[in-house]
Amino acid sequence: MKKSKLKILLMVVIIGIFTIGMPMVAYGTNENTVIVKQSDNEYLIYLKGYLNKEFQFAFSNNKEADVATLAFVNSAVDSAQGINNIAYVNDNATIALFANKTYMWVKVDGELKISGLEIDIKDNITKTELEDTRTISKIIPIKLEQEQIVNKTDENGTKITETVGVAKLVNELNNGKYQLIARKSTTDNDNFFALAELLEKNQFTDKYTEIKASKEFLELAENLLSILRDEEWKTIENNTIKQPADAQNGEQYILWLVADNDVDVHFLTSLRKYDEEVVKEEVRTKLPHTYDNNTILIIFAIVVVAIVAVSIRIAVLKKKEMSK
Amino acid sequence: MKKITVYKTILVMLVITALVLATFIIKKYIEGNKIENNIQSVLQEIKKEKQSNPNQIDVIKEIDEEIEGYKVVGIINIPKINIEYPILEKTNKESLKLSITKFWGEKINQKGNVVLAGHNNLNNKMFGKIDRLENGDIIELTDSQMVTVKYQVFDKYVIDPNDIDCIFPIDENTREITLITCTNRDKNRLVVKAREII
Repeated sequence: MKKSKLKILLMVVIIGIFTIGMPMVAYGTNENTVIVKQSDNEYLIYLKGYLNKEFQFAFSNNKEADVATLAFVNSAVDSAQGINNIAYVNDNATIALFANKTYMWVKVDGELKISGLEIDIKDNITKTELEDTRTISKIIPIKLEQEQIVNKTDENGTKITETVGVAKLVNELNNGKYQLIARKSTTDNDNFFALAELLEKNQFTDKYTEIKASKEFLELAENLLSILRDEEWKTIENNTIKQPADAQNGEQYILWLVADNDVDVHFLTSLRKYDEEVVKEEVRTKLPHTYDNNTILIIFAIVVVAIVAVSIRIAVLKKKEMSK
Repeated sequence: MKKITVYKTILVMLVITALVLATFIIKKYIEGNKIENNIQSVLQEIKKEKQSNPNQIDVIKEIDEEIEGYKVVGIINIPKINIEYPILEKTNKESLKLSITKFWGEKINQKGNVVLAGHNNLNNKMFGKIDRLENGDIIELTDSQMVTVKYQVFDKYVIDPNDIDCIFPIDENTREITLITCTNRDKNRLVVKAREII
């Protein structure tokens, strides 16, 4: 009797350990997914790591739904944009599910890979917004020029010229205003600039990363624009925007531009150079020494040869001595 | 007998010299291996960072590595000659011993010309094999944001060390790279030019 009680206790402990020790996979909403809204009843869901393989997916409003009862659908290909496997949603029944909390399940070759991932279909980027990221910095075009601001002669008679960068509007603007924000002023501005650089390079590893970067960029643009203070907007004079007076060479700035109906943003690097210094620098420049010096090896080889020669000479002399 | 003594003295001196030189050669070899191992571990660390997503915005990843106080600003990979090295921010005698360095230009993978310098090592490490590159060969540069851009070699020539024309971009609106190493001992520089594949 005692033995059987002990066995039951042991089993309870083992089951307890296994239950507590079981890995619990908890996903954040839309984790590792990006959703592109093509139209009101057409969505493309890109899953990170699943773009290159076919999969099956299912949705339910019940997080604890029995997987066996779920209606899995085959992934589609975003043929218009490439060859990425996506969860394509365009049927009214599925879209109706999204009115409430919705969860997603993903299988690859019959094996369950994602279980109960919460999907918020409202957290999407529209097709138009995605296309809009390509027009950023092109809505209000500018051209970058250089302007001499100091032109003096020092006590040694050397002429010193200081040149700074200016941005000029390509087209006249009605009621044009601007704000210049330093990239490093906040983390959001830094991230915004970094995303702009990524989008400009357009060298993304996959479509997921490209859409994710575009979405983050637009969200940051909206947030950053909304917190710009009204009183800080400066009027554009003579179609020219000067860099801040204390801007040093290489510092980066976000230039926000607004006009009657347009808003645009540019990502600029300030320029400040002193011509006298530049000339000196160029004269001094010489290509670097990148030669791997092998003199020590050559000397070593000569010494070894000398050792052999001297050894032979000693042997010959010894032989002569012996024969005497 | 006197002659033998003189030769024996010379022999002893030569052997001592040979031992001293051998010590320097071994030391140089060990230091070279240590640098290579350090470089490999830095590259592994960067690749690990690339796979993880520590940032809230997971598409922004920045290289945050240093080698002996020199910031790593990118990675160069040349599949044809099987080399992969971190690119250090500054070029000087010390940094050139550690890895490939940025000698001139804006940030890696920005428009314009970026000039990279590397030792022409006798053991074929660093830029010891870039003379084998030919037009059409591929060079990959990964910048500090972990974006990799492919470039294609379009020119290779030898110049005088004072000839700095190669540092200026052919077209300011194109991404261009210039690799420089010594050739003909220290008398000349071998220049390999490549531009972005569009």
